[in-house]
Amino acid sequence: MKHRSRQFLRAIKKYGPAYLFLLPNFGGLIAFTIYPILFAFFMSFTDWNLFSPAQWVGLANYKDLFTWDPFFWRTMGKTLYYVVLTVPGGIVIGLMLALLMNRAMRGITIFRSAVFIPQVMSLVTVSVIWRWLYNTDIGLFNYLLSVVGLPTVDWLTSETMVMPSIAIMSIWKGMGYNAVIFLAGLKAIPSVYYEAARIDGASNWRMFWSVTLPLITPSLFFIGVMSSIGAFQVFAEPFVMTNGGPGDASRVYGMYIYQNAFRFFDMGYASAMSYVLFVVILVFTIIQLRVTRSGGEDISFM
Amino acid sequence: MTHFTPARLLKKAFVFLAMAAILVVVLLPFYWTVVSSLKTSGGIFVYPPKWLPDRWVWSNYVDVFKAAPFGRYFLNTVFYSVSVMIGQLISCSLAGFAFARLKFPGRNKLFILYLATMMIPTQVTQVPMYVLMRNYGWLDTWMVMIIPGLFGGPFGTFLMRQFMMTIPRDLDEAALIDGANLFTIYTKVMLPLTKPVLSVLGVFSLMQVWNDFMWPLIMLQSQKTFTLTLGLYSFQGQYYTDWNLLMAAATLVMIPVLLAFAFAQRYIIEGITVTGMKG
Repeated sequence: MKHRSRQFLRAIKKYGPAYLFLLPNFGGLIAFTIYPILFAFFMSFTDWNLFSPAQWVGLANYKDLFTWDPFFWRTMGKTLYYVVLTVPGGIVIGLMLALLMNRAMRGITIFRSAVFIPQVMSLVTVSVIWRWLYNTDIGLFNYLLSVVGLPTVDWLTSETMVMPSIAIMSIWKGMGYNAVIFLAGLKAIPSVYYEAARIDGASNWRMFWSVTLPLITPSLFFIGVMSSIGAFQVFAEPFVMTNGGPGDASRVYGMYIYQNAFRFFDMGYASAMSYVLFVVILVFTIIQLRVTRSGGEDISFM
Repeated sequence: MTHFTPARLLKKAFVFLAMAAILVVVLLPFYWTVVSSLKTSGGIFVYPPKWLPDRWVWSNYVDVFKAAPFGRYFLNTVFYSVSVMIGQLISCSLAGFAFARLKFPGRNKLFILYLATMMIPTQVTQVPMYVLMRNYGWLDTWMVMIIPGLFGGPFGTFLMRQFMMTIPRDLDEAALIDGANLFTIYTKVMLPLTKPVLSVLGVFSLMQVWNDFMWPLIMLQSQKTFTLTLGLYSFQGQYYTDWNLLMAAATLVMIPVLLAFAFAQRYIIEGITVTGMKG
């Protein structure tokens, strides 16, 4: 007995400081992340509007989502569409920008910083500004189109154009960030690879596909995963620019969660929706991980 | 020795033109915002639009301040973001130190738990956090904006740990032999050496709170607690098509961010490079 308590004291003395260092951060993580996550999981099995006691409903929320609620599929579809528009577009444009910036040139750091400016702006500011640029009758974009003799576009007022319009803005906002990540990847490629390829008589195009692209796979993966995770959670852009309209053409999943939770106070249902989103993101990330991994193996065989 | 072969000249011209075009694409929206903010309420609807205002209406900015308390929003945002930043720097560097340097049972499992929570979308915690904040009576107060962020997230801890792992152990072992305790090693050896990553984390957390929209949207209700982004959103709700006033408000919200970026751009861009490579 005495022996054991002495051992316990010794353990406290040995490890106590480590746990003390961790305490503020880990305490915060438990109180404001882990506990809420578990709480949401519990809530997702209840019917609760905050004002009357919660009713345990088992899997009914999830069942309703998949089998009854047409807006679940519709808003999830809109969100997927947004992911498909912004993630590959953002990767291609960011990579092109990085290739352009990957050269020793006077003023290149100023250029890099300028391209980065939209990234540090809040989404709300950018959305407010672009709502004005996209204005159908007197907006700048339609004016520029008419100047060069092209037909004007109903950017935010047509059901087919509204999602691409929002996606264009998002790509514009994020391209500086993507370019900076890709640039770091490009700079890490040893120049001997290019020299060897050049000796073998490879063209620039061929070098891009056989040297550059395989060697920046980590950056590609990082941006692919991070921007998909972000894109699945899209909320502020459509919320500020169109409030989900016209009709519900730009109502994305994040907005539908918001409406269920804070307009209809359907806390259980909103929690179930957020868990479904989590699983979708998780599956998507794992798929990307697999694809990049198998791509990497191919490369090592070449 | 530079050769001005036609091919090389052509390539240079192409690069230059491409860069100029990109600069226009990036900066034109901001130019248009500022120009629109200085037009009269009649001039804003003139078509075709003018590239410069006929009359520079600086009073639009006065009107914006009269219509909504943007000064208050600014002070609120500074207060929230600076408090959270200080708290994050302390909590994350303490925890990062524990993960990087100290041995304790469950360290690796705990670290995996940290990484796992980074995967969780914000929507998952938002609904329960609303309920919790409501129960605590923090809704619509400064507390909801500061206290949950004060202890830092897993990302900051991860960043600190990764950086501290790269610092040679000889330094803290030498200090240990000199009789320093762990806390002295943390403050006197580690913190001075982690200044670069502390400034990166500081800028990140500042930007995060400054630009966040969904959290204040859900948690705040009255103007006296609003942040700049939420204030701009509610301003848009009232002046939905008063484009000149809206753009003046947007410009006001942009100015502090632009100024801060001008000073901190190196930290931001290099910080992103580092996190991108390590991530």
